[in-house]
Amino acid sequence: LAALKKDQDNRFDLVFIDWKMPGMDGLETSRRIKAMDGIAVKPEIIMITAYDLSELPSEASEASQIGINKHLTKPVTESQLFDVVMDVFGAGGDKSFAFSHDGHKGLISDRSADIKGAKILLVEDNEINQQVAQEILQQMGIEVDIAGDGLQAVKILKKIKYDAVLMDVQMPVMDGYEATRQIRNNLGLVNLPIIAMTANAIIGDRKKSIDAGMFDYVTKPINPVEVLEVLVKWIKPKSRSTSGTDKFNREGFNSDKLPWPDIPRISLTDGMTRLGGNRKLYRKLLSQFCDINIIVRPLLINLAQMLESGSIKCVKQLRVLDSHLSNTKLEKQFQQLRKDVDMFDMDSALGRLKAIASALEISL
Amino acid sequence: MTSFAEQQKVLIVDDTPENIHILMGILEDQYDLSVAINGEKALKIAAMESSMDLILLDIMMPEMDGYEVCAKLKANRKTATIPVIFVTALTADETEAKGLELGAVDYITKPFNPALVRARVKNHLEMKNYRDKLEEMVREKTNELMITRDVAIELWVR
Repeated sequence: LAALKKDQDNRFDLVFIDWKMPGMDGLETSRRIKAMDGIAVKPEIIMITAYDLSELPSEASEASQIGINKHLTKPVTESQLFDVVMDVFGAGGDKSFAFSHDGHKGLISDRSADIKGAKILLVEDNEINQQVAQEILQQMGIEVDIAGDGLQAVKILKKIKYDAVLMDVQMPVMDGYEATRQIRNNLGLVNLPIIAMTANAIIGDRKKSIDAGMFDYVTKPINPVEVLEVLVKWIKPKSRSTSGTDKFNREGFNSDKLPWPDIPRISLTDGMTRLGGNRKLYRKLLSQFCDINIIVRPLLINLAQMLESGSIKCVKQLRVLDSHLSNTKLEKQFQQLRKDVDMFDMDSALGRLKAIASALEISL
Repeated sequence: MTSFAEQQKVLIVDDTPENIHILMGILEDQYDLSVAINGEKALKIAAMESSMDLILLDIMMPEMDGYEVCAKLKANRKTATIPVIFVTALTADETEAKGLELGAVDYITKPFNPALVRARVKNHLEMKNYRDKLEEMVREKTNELMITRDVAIELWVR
């Protein structure tokens, strides 16, 4: 609440409020925000709760009296977040801004439905990168097989058909360039989308990848949003058996037939001037949520199991997590956790892990 | 992804991280290792669903010592068949006898001799493999016998 008062110049358009908080709970906070003087445009409020609101009708009706019609259920997923944010701002009258962006880079949640069920061969020698990429792809509903080097990849592609290949360029035995040449020339798979994974935007690598016959590239360490966009671009949407809700969402969003909730409107011009900035914010928010929910959460869950069973695989797992948790607010706690593991005190490490998870609002 | 699933599982129980590090260095290439720094955690891990194939158990530990852990392992049906190798700096025959009485299969003494550690661990894991296979065979044969008996009884009743 204090944050809102202070930042009146630099005001918020949207507030995410946790339902259960110590002191003042989410409902009371929202009531006060809505009643607050001196705020020209009242922010939209999205309630975050661990409960299914449809099972709590009295709380839900109390919330809607205050003017909260949207909620997110924990654990918050990327697509839920996106959908809810779209709903709230979409009510401003102009829904097109997010969908018409660059023609094809529209809804992330929508797009991932297009490649759900696709089969991808991941060619990567580093076990840590294998694990990270595999987790990202599996969360998108993609089926992943792994080859440890270029030669293995060529052998596998001789036998099995894939929708696309994600190819590391630098590998032992056979690198990605040579593997791509063999796949194109010897196996004759000229239309197979091969996407290079190149380290840190080295332009030379990219040119070499394209020269070798790859269609596109993503940078390492890989970023879920970037990977998704590239895959969507190259994998032809098949008539895969998407579930009913997927179809509903897609048609709903695209055909304007989705019933928009009746919430106080943001003025159109005011909204429009803020759109550019908002879109960047969406992207930032989205990629943070991707990082936490798609990558970090499964890693933490695995780590908890390893600590529980005393498995020394946790040492390796910590290295994977390191790149995600170092340089964040949680770094200190994470360092303590590592110290515990160095001393093999798995129970103490497990306690710290639970604290880190709850700070990230992840349930283990 | 890799062949972790095929590796046999060894639990190292020791209150000193240095010892754990040394044993890890000797064994981690070949086995799926877990560690516990006290008896309580060791008993918890040993009783978990995916059980251990072998336990390396330090004798001198604060609170619950290795003898007590071993006795408790042997008293629990779930963990009684896991072979235990004691790890000790004590070399007196007397302590060795005490451990063997409790059901331990062998001893490893500190400071560690890597070749010896590897050989003893390998031997006992192989023996456990044979025993598991034998038990499986006995179970199968018993089943067959039961079926034969049931059929025989049925025929006789008719």
